[in-house]
This record gives sequence, C-alpha cells and structure tokens, in this order.
Amino acid sequence: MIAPAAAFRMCFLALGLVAGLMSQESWLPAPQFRHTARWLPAASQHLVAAETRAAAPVLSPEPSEDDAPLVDGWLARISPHHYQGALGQILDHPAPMLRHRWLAVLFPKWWKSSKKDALDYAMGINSASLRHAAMKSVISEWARTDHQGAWHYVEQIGDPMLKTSLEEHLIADAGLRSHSLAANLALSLADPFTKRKAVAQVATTWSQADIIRSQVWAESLADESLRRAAMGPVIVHLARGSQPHRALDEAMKADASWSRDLLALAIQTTGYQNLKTPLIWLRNRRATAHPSMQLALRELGELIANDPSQTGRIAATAHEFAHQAPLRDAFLSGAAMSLIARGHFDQASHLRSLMGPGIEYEDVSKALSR
Amino acid sequence: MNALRAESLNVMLCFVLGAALGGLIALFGRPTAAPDRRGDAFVAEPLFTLADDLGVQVMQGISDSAQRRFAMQSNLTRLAVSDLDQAIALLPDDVSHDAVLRDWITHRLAAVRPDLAARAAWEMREPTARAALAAKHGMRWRERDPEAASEWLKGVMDEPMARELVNISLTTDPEFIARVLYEWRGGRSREQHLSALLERWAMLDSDAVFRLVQKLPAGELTSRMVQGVGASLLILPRTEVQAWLGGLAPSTKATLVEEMAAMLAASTTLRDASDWMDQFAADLPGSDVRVQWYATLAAVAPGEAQRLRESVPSDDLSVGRVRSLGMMDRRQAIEWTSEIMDEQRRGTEAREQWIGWLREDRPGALRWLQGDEALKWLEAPVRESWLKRYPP
Repeated sequence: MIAPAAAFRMCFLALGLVAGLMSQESWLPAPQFRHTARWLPAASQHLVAAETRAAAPVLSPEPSEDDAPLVDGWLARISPHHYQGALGQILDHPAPMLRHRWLAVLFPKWWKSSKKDALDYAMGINSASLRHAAMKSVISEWARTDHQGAWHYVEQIGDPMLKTSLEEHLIADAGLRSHSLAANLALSLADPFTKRKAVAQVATTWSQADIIRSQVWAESLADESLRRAAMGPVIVHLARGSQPHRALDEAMKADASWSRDLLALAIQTTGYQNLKTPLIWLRNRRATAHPSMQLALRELGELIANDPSQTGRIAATAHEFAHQAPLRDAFLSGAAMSLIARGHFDQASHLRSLMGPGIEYEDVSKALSR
Repeated sequence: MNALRAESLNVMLCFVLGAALGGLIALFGRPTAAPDRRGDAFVAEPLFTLADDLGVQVMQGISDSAQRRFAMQSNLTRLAVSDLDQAIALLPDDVSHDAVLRDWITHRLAAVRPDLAARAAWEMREPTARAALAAKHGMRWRERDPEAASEWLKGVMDEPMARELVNISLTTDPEFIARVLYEWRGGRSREQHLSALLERWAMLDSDAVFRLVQKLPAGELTSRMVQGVGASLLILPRTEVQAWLGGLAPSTKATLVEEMAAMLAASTTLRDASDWMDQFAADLPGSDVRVQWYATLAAVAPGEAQRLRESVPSDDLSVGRVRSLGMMDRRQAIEWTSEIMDEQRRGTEAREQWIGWLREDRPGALRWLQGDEALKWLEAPVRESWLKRYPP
C-alpha cells in the first residue's frame, strides 16, 4: 500500500517526466496540414495562409519530379486567394513538363471558384504554349458542365492557332459523350483546314468505339476530300482489329482514284500485325489483282524484307505473280530497296535478277550503284 | 505549516527530477540508425574516432572478410564526404564497386553534397547507371552552383550522359541542359542531341526555346541543330520570328520555314495559313515550299486554289495543283501541266507525273502514252523518247 503523499509525489514525478520528453521536438508527431480548413470560414483564412506560407517552399526552390505529387496536393488545397501567387510560381519553374502538369491541376480549381478570373488569367499568360495548355484546362472544365457554352466561347476567340487547338480539344471531348455530336461539330466548322482535321479526328475515335457506324458515316460524306480523310482511320482500325481481310476488301472497293492509297495503308497495317494476313489475302485474290495494286505490293515487299525470318519467301511470293509483271516487279523492288537500306546488297541483286525491265529495275539499279 | 511547505518542496523536487529524467531520456534515447547486430559493429565503431583515412588503413587489416567489408564500407562512406578522391582510390576492385558507390550517393552524399554525389556517380563502371546517376545529381548540383555544375558536365560528357540529360531535361531545366550541350565541344553528335532536346522542349514551351535560340549566335545555328523546332514556332509572334529567321543561314531558315509550312494545314485556319505563307515563304530560293503549299490548298480547299489562280497566276500555283492532282489521278495531272508557263518546268513535271504513274499502274501509263490522247499534251519527240526508254 502506497501512502497518499508518496502517490502524489510519484504523480508529479511522472508529470515532470512527460514534460521533459515533450520538450524534445523529435518526439512530437509531425505537423499535419488541415485539409478541412476551407469549411471554417473564420479560422480558415488564417490556417490556409499559414499553410501557404509553409508550403510555398514546395514550389519556390525548384521541386523535382519526385516532389510533383506534393505540389499537386498543395495546389488542390490552397484557397482561391492564393491561385494568382501559385500561378506565378508555376510559371517561374524551369521544368516545362511540371509546369504543364501543375497548370492542369490549378486551372480546373480556379474555374470552379471564379470562371472569369480563370479565363482572364489563362488568356493573360505570356508564353503561348503555356497559354494554350491553361486554356485547354479551363475549356475542358467548362465543357464538363456546359459544352455548348464552351464551344460558343471558343468560336469567338480571335487567335486562330488557339481557336483551332481548342476546337480540336472540344471535339475530342464531345466524342467521349456522343460520336454523332462530335461529327456534327466537326462538320459545322466553316474553315476547310480545321474541318478536314476534325473529321479525321472524329473518324479515328468513332472507329475505335463503333466500326460499323463510323464506316457508314465516313462513306456518307459528300465531299470527297472529307470522305478520304475519314476513311483512312476507319480502314486502319479495321486492319488492326479482328477483321483485317475486311479492311483489305473495303480498301479495294473504294473509289478508283484513292483505293491504291487505302490498299497500301491496309497492307501496311495488317502486315505489321501479322505478315501472313496480307499474303493470304493476296493469294486468294490473285486472279482479280489489278495493276493499280503496284503501290500496295511494293509496301508488302518492304514489309517482308524487313523480317529476316520471311526473306526466304520473297522469291516464292514473287513467283505467284509471274503472269502479272507490274505487280511482281513492284513487289520485288519494295523488297530489294528495303534490303539495300539494311546493307544486304547480294540479296537485293538477286531479287533484281528476277525483275523484268522497267522503272522498278532502274530504281533498284540506281540504289545498288549508290 | 512547515510540514506543508516541506511537502510542496518535495512535490516540486519530484517534478523537476522527473523533467530532468525525461529530458535525459529524450536526449540520449532519440531514435538513431539501428545498430548492426551482426557482430562486426563493435570492431568498426571505435575506429570512427580515428582519422578517416587512418581508420580505413586499420580496417584493411581486419581478417574476417564480412567484418572487414562492413568496417570498410562505414569508414569509406565517411571518408567520401571529407576526401572523395581518396575514398575512391580505396574502393574495392571487385563486383561490389558500383554498389558501394551507389550506397555513398544514396545514404550520404546526395542530401548534403550533390557535387560529390555527381562525381562519385561518374566513377561507376556500368555506363547506363553511371550516366543516369551522374546526370541526376549533376542537375541537383546545378541548383546550388550552376557554373561549377555546367563546367563539370561539359568536362565529363559522353554519349550516354548526353542522352540521359536530354531524357531528364523536360522535368528539370532544359535551358541549362541546352546550354551545356551547345557549349560541349567534344561530341560528334552534339547537334543531334541538341536538336532532340529543342524539339521536345519546343512542343511544351516554344517561347522559352525561341528566347534561347535568339541568344545563340545566329551564324552558328545549323539546320541539324534546330531541326524539328519549326512547327512549334508557328504560335509565336510573327514579326519577332521573321526578324530572327532573317539573320539565319539560308539553309537553316529554309529548314525551319519548310517545317512550319508543313504544319500549317493542321494548326490553323485557311486564312491565317495564307497570310503566313505570304509573309514567310515569299523569298526562299531553292525551296519548293510554295509549291507544297499550293498542292495542299488544291487538295483541301480547291475553291480557294481556283480563286488564287485567277487572281495571281503563277507557275508555283500550277505546279502545286499538278502535284495535288497527281495524288489522285495521274492522267489529269499530266493534262494540267499545260498550265505551267515555263517550258522546262512543264516538261519536268509531266515526266515526274508519268514516272509516278508507271510506278503505280504500269499498264495504264503505257496505254495512255501509246494512245493519241498523249499527243495532245506531250510533244511527239518526248513521247517517243519515253516509249523508247520504257517499252510496253
């Protein structure tokens, strides 16, 4: 049994022990930022200002890529009063990739707090590249809730480079919700350059999501230049996907004036995936092969010659086209040129010996003599 | 009363005693690196009091290899801070060489002496790791002493290091690295590395790249150095860009303008692109940038091409139209060559189109050449020479 006086003394001894321990900083828990400060209006200003002061060195003495998430978190927490200061610090940082990253964190927050300020400050950035990046962030955030409003604003922008870039961005954004909306936006553009680029962009994203509808849309375009711009991505997607033979067939079916380009594109894309695909397709269609397929055959020749395990098949494949000299020579010239580029001159000479006279023979001879 | 006073004194003494005890515990009991319990720490610890190099010499005499290794490593790490050259000289010449260096850098040098960390990294034997660590710590050193870091980097630079610096440039300081690469005289591929850096950097911050290249002597900027930068200059103020281009060597200027022109259709509106062409591509001798532009125009905006043709007829425009048509229909393209005023140019373009046709559809090209239609567009001797050279 301890006497009360002794217990009292021990209590004070313990208290003293704790006080002594607490006086050493390293035993204290690490300081924590208050994440909820924004919800305490009176206290928050003080707390956030203190936090900003504490975190300011995060940006000023050059944080590295490793510190970037820390800065992301800080930008996400600071109050709107500090956005302008943070922008200055971001723009002063020497690393361009980190500047872009932090602009993409800051401006959506800024937009939510004040639309006008976000737009004014983004447009006021001196550096054109960073202005474009900041405006993309603002417009993306705007389009999230009001796509039409954002589109309308972009259409009023005087700088054609910025306008074109933001239109492209908004069309891509619209494509995430509805491909037909994106297609309508693209077709509503008056400028032929911008329209053509936007149509190709829509065709690319649409074909990845729904190849059948995107193809119907691409084929329905009345303007030939636009139709060509849209069909390219559709064919490429077909060739990359599960229907490579269909891609090659569709390319063959296109208008005569551009089927040769589309077919070359399809052969190239399917060949990259699996070299056997275009070879089998060509074998099956050998009887109906048209001389305008020379370009595609040249492409195939290059592809086969690029694969050391397939070079043995070049002569055999050329033999299959023995009765169609233009196609055979185009195929052999593509293969020979590829071999010459990689320094296999003897093999290229052998392929030349299998060719008939003509422009392809001359091309290979010239390359060999160089 | 006295008893109460004595009791209070006792309590206060207890508190003071407790506080003192707590303070002592806190002072001596604060967490430190966990002591090594393998049994060799006791061998090394007393020697820490010796001078670093002497400690190392003594430790070399420890017979047990594991203990010797630990003791050496501890003392060498300390020595690395005070005398890096001597520490490097004492490094074990075995497979652990690079690992020991990495250990010094990570645990001691990186935080306090980035200059020594960079120099230690440069002593590593594996070239990729050496370049990666030396470049990383060289850039940390730059934060403290840019001049010294720059001199050192230029002195040790080799191919892997240059590649690594370019790789980390966008997340560190591309301007500093660009200057180091520019002033580096030892590498054959200096221009190639500089161009790779400027191209990547310009995609993110063309203004900064432009500010830098403006400061470099215009006469020393070669086409290879600025290759790939052109397209990014399109968004900058045109008068400034034009003034700068005017001071460059003609080949460098031509490279940049051609790159810019090639990106016009994808970057801006037709009207803006036309203005740009009028301003930039008016005097580029030896470059076919205008022809390429008209070819694009004819393909994408045929109405505008036609309007231009009616208002300002020129051979460049006609050649552009021919080339654009040639992408779709060689026959039409050859027919359009008749619009070219210059006889020699007309012949050259017609031949180019026909050769292209031969490459795409030999029977079709030869059939057309043999027919009467060809005589409408080609002179008989020309047709005969082509037939002779490429017989059906």
